[in-house]
Amino acid sequence: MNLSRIGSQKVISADDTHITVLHLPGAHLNEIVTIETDTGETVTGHITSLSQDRCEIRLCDNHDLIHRDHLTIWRHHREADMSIKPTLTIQDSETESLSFITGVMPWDCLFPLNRGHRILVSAQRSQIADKAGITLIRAALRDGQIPVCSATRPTQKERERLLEFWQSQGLDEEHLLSAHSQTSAYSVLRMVHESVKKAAFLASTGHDVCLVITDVEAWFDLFCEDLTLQGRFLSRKGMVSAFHGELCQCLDTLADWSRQVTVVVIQPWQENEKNSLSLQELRTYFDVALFSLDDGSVSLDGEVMAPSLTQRQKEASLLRRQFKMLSRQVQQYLLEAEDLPDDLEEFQKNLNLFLSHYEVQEEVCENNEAAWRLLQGLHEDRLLRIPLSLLRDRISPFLAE
Amino acid sequence: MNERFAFVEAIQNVYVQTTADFPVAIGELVSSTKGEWYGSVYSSQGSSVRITPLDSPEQLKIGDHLHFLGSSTLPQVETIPFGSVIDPLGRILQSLNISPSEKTGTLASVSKSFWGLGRLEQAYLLKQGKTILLMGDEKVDSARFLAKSLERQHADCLYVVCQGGLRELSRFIDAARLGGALQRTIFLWSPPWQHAISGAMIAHCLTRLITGHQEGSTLILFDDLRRWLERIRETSEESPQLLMPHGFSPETRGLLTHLMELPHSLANTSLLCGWSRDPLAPRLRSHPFGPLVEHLTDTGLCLSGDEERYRLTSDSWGTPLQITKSKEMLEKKIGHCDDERKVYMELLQDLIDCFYLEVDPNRLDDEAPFLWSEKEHLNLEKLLESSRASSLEDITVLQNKIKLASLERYSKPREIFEQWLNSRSEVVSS
Repeated sequence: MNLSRIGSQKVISADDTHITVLHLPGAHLNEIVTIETDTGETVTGHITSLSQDRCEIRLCDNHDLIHRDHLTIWRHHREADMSIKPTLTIQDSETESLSFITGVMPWDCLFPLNRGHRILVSAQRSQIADKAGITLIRAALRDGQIPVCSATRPTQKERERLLEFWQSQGLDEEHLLSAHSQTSAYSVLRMVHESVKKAAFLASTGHDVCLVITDVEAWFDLFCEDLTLQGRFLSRKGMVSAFHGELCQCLDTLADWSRQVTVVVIQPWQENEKNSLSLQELRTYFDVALFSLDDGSVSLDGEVMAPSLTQRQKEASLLRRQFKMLSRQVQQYLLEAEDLPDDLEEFQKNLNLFLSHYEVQEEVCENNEAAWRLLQGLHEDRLLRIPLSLLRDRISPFLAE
Repeated sequence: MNERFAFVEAIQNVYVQTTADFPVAIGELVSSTKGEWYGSVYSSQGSSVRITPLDSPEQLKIGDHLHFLGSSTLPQVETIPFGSVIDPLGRILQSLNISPSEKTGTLASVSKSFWGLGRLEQAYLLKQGKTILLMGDEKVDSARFLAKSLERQHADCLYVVCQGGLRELSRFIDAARLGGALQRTIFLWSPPWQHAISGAMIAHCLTRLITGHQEGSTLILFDDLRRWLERIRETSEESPQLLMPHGFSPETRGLLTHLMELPHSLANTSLLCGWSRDPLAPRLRSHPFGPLVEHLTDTGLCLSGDEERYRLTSDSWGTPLQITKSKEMLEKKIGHCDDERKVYMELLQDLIDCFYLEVDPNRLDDEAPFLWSEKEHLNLEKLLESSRASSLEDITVLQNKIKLASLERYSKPREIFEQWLNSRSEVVSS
């Protein structure tokens, strides 16, 4: 603990977002400082430029009225340092992580997850809090993971619902970090970093953790705002490039516990929205990308980018390929206004029903059986994407029934 | 010796300012006294000098000493041992442990080649000493392909440029371990959270490294070129340089050309670059530097796939080999035939792709690549010209046969396909 405090009262200019102060010895760039008003109120500041004896400080927190003649700038912030820094850790690929059985049937069968996966969930804006966020937290709970949630821009309603859910499950409220619409950009970014630190701390004490960050677009917007306030004026593409660093830094800070901390980042999307498109390239930092359709059902277009796949995940990829091929055939029939063969019609109906099972099921699905069942009424000639031996092996138990 | 020191006078995220009473060169390196911080001179007006930070400027304080090094790269770059992870300035971040078993790798039985691109090598002529670009649609992660290539190549010296995070770096290191290439690889790592300007030093660092280690064939795996350009754009926007209308600085063209022409300027050097597709400008040519990249590249392998297996698209360029010529012929014919015949030809195209060209990033190609020869091309040509030997039923029977032979391994079904192709062409001839 630093007992000596270094401060200055020589404020030479102040505006809504910045103040300039003289004589703050030993200060360094990007240092966090505390600005104290004559009434004892404190505001967090951030040094954005140093020149000889002059320090330019950006005001990080929202404030009501501050008078430049009654300010004291203190070096050393009162709160713990929230900066995060990944360390170079070469992971051992030999140790395999455990499966993360979510209880959400289409995910478990078609996109089997592992603990420690980095998961990007793209969901339609209106469904974010209700479906994706809470579904995954519930899934993590049943899997024995401690959920930590960071909500960057929830609406009032979403925040209440999240809090209600948190309380109903008897979860530690310290693990739910939620911003208000008035919260400053700096504080929200700090909140995300804090959630990463909390996840790292829990993992270091031997717990399995599921860190949910919702949503990436708000995170990006606030990151842009923060960058601008730091005096870094970049184009949108430049901002996206800088945000690669922010996201990757957060994910890699958890690299030491890569088999214990599952990270879920939720990305909202809206049809024909160009802004969301430019964030698509962030997928490269994730192991699995999951998409949900307009009606809330799981899309087949998700991706698994994890470096190594288990047998179950390989089977799931064959099933996805096969389902996509069959769905395309169905679309072809519909486009050409031809009668759909009975077996394909039945398959498509069952597939749609299967993909809409977005809720966490009580009955745990530990293999891909439910997905294989969808293929049982189809002739083998249609199932060209799956090796025959595997197909017969998986389907024969149902046929025997 | 004339000491060249100055004091820090101003610090910003974008520059550090000092006053130097001696001549300084633009681009020369500057370090803090203990050598933990580096910067590069970018402007000098009278005695006032501005320095771009290559490391985070938080480490500096007003009044700190700066040492002008008089060189644009660190002196010890040439002596860096293989099996090291270094930063773009050539500082060793970690020396990797190589166990005796890792010297041979666990993929000894897998067929290896210089580029290690498996089945993709059958499509275009890929010579050593050239530049290849590997790009895909938004679903294709080029890093996965480059990692697979690292497992399966046999170049004498390897330089892997990674611009992803720890996970991406680990993926490359794992691939080198599996392929037994760790003791001949240097990993140059520039993570996204580091100051973006350091990425601009990559081409200089590679030149010095390769010159210092020139022994036999050299392969550079660069992941990825577009991210690299985006990071240069990010730094250009923050610097006081004049920018082109597309947002890049004029300097970018020089940096890009320097990098892409390494195979021409250094003997026995080849370059394999990944290119992640920009979702807002999916075609290479729509990128401001796309046409230049295409011009400086000998072969472009463009991949696409909506069934989680990838196929080369017609955007690819280079010297086509026989299978690509056959595929182009087939595509041309598909565009000029009736519906029934179109279905037939599409099935045929599907089989050719499946057996000869389709790649799975998780299993690039476990078998020795099969060469589609002139004979197969002629047989296919005959088949396409005649409608006598080519009915839809006929190909459906073939598909069933192939299905029975199981799609798990390609050799048997491919054999059946070849026999079928030969027998059909004989029917046509007779």
